Amino acid sequence: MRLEWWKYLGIAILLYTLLFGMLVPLGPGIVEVSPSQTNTGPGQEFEVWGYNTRFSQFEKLNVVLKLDDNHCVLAREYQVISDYRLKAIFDLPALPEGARSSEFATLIIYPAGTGTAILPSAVSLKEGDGDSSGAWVPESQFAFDRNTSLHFPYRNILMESIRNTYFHVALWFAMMFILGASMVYSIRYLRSGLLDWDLKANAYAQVGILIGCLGITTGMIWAANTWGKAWSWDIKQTMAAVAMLIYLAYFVLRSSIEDQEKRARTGAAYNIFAFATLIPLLYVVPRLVDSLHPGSGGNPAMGGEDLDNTMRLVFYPAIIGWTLLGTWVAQLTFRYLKILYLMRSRNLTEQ
Amino acid sequence: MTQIWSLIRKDWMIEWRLKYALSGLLLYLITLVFVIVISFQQISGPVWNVLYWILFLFVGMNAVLKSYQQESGQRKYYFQQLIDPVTLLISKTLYNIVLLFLAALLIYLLLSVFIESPVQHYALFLGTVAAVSVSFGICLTFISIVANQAAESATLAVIIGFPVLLPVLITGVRMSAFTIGMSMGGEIEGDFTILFAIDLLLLGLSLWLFPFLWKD
Repeated sequence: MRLEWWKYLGIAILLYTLLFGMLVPLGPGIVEVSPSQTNTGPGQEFEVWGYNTRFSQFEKLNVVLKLDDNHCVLAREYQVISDYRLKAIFDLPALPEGARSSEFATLIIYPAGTGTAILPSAVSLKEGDGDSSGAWVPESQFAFDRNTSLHFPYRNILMESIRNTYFHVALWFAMMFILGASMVYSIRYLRSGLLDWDLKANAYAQVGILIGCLGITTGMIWAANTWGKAWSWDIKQTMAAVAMLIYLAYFVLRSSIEDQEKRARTGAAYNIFAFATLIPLLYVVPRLVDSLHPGSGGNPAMGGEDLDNTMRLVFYPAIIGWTLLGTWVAQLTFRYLKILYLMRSRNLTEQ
Repeated sequence: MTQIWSLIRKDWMIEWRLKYALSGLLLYLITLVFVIVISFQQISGPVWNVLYWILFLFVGMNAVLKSYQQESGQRKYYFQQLIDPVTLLISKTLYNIVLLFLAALLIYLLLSVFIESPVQHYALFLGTVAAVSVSFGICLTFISIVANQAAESATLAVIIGFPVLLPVLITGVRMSAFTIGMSMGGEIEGDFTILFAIDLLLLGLSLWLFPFLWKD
């Protein structure tokens, strides 16, 4: 028996994903700022609620409102109520030239814990009539250190559920790889006519669909907590369900053809066709329609700052881990199918 | 080329002589339109749009999915000796595309007899119908061939047909929503490009895969 090291590697990676993905804390974040709308002018008071923040640990906090790179303002004074709550008073200068009648400002607090706490579009500022004593300063005056220790980024709405990236997104990536492998085996079957390739294609398709169902389930658990409903007929959910239907039809097709050769040929042809339709289904159509899913409609998702380097440390291994585990299960399924096939053909010859 | 043309003519002659297929299709269509008009009474633009495509889906599946059935059995062996599988597939697909396009126009005419049609840009609507007919023709022809390999081909065709057609159908609904004056965001040209890309992908695949299904 050859040493199949990659199986152990897969398990190790998944253990690492589970441990690292669940245990690394979230960075500090700002949950809410009240009031969320105000006029410019002196003495504007805000109350801030933080998440994973340790306001009272630091001697000096910098509480900054930022319009853009050249327009920031530091709080005149602040009062820490608890680790998770503070009050800040700003002298807001008049909105800069060329600004719209109301502008969204980002609230930045540093140091806030293990890094900087940021809330984009925290406050909507309107031109007030109060005389401004403060002045805008460029962002380069402040030294925001964005990453001081190991933590996952805090994102509004997502919050702790950002860890689902490793158990939902990674699963879907793995599903695409496994189904792709199934398609490759189908092509090899059509090229060579060896029945083994067809059995392999079948096994990989089965495992791919299993992984897809797991991916949908983790997505639904996530949706139940962030969207409030497990299934809300979002376009991505619908398309994912349709993708599952296409592959279920593949199994129906296989089981409805008696002749082994014919079943293999038809199954292979449909499998290739199904994988090709998966691409518009999962990657083109959802782009056309509005979606609640992270990555569309201004919702945070992969790319940009949302998938930061700490998350990459877990996310990419997670994809590899799930794919390796899927391959292992697919190999076992293939052997099972092969034994079934051999037993059936032996029975036939004995009769 | 002449082979393709004569195969298309043969299909049409059979269809025309066996009147039941065409008249059955027509009757099916008229019944569906009647049921819809009677039960809905008043139909707004968006509802009209969705109903139109659902009608098209059902009528189209009925029209095309049986198209390969006549090619099984004895006649199949005869064809296998005479012609190249690619020729047969192209002729079938072309025939089905034209059939679907005519069916789509007929649905539109019948619907507009009973209900005022909300379509504002006729040329765009015609283009949409033509583009979706092409995609449906390619998809459904291939599906009917795959389903015909199995014993329970009619049921199977529906099972594997619906999910495969869904992306095309959604794009079609979106595109015709433009033509009745609803804005869905984005440009209609993009949708045409997407449909065209899907068409190319599926056509290439079915041309490649059909010879494998063809030989026994």
